[in-house]
Amino acid sequence: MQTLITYLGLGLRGLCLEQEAYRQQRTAPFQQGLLLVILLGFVVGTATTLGQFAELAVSPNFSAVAETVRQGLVEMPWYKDLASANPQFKAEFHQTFDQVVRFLGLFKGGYLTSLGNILLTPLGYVIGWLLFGSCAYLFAKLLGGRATLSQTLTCTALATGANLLNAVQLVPFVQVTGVTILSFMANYLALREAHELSPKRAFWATVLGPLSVILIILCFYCILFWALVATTTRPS
Amino acid sequence: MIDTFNGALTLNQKLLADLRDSPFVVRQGLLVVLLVGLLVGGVNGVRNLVYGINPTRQAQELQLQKAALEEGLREMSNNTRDLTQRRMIEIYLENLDSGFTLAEQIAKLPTPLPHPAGIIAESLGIFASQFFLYLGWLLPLVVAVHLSARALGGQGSIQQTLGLGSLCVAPHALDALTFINIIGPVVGIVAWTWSFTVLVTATSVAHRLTSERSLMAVLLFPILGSMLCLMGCCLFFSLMATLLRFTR
Repeated sequence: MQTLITYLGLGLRGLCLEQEAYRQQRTAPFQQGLLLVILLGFVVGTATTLGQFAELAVSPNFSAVAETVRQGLVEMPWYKDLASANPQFKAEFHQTFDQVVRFLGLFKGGYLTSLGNILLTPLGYVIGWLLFGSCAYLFAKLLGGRATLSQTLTCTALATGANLLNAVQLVPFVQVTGVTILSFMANYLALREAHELSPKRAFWATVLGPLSVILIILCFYCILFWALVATTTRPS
Repeated sequence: MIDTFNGALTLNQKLLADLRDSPFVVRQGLLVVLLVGLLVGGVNGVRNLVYGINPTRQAQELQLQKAALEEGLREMSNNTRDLTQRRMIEIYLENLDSGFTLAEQIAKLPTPLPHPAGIIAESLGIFASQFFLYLGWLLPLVVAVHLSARALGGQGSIQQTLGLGSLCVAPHALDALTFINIIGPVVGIVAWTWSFTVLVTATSVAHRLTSERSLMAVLLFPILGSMLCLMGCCLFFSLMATLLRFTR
């Protein structure tokens, strides 16, 4: 319990962008960073799960809502007008409505799906942290940074403290915004302190990592799209 | 925290300078945002709870919304000359009653916990969300102000910009009064103007800039953004006009 409180305190210092905490983190072992990210993910995941449970407990059943909407639409004047004008309209309407319900059903929450957050959130945080940290390390090195990969990762682990704000999702129906930008600021500080970079270089080291990942994903989708078009338009 | 809050409202330069040199500048700034968020969110949450728990009041509110929407649509219908648009509005009006009945039916569907629990949960959500609503506009603003202040010769760090910039949320404590119909809009304008003044002062202190330069730093990105928007709109409309000319 004491360890959890110590780590949460460290996360809070990361969230509050305390320069001294980032400076100290530079000499911390890699395991400490990893444990911090996992614990933060666990806390946020548990809070989100409990919040989703509360939301499910006060929300009507998804199928009941869908049926009420269907019944309500069928009783509307526009439906009656179209149904009398076109005999096939009823069948087409129900078919489209079923498709929409099936699609929306993919996003509906359930108790089991919510429970998955307890495991998936720390996993997601660790993957995101390692991916971002490695990219940022590469760009920071290119821009004249001095830290090792391990030092970069321990410092950026502290920057994941910004995600502590997501723990407020314990409250049902809460809208959380701004965490990404705060996380970006924390990562900028982490890279500046870890690599002893100038503000300008630290900014580019922070920005270029996510930008290149977005660019790679875009290129991947473009290639995928091109391949799809090429295969479907190939003369048989 | 209350001292920081009062100092921000009174544009106390000494307090702002002390805060700038503190290693906990972000913590102090964010605490002010939290204080204002909890205050305004609390008022909004209680208001939602009072409306939600009383079914008569809820029905009255729904009727008011329906009447306002109906009036707006009728006005649109009277003002338009386009027959297709007028017919569309007529269809909307014909289906409005059924739409509201449907919304009422969904609200009455059974839930695992009794209905007041839903209203309480929703109000709690409103209460906790206000802090994040402020963060949502404050953080991009702080980034923009920091970038422009540095470009204009500012010396402050991102922590100082964020910590002191957060104080511009303090005047938004007035948002707790915006639910009063008569004074609501005036209070909103006062809060935004006061907030702007606090931001200019905070930027000036954080970056050791003159007031004119800090004013420029605050306005640079909004002006650039609106100019780009205007140019984008002009480009879009001229493109549309050219396309229409070609298709005719």
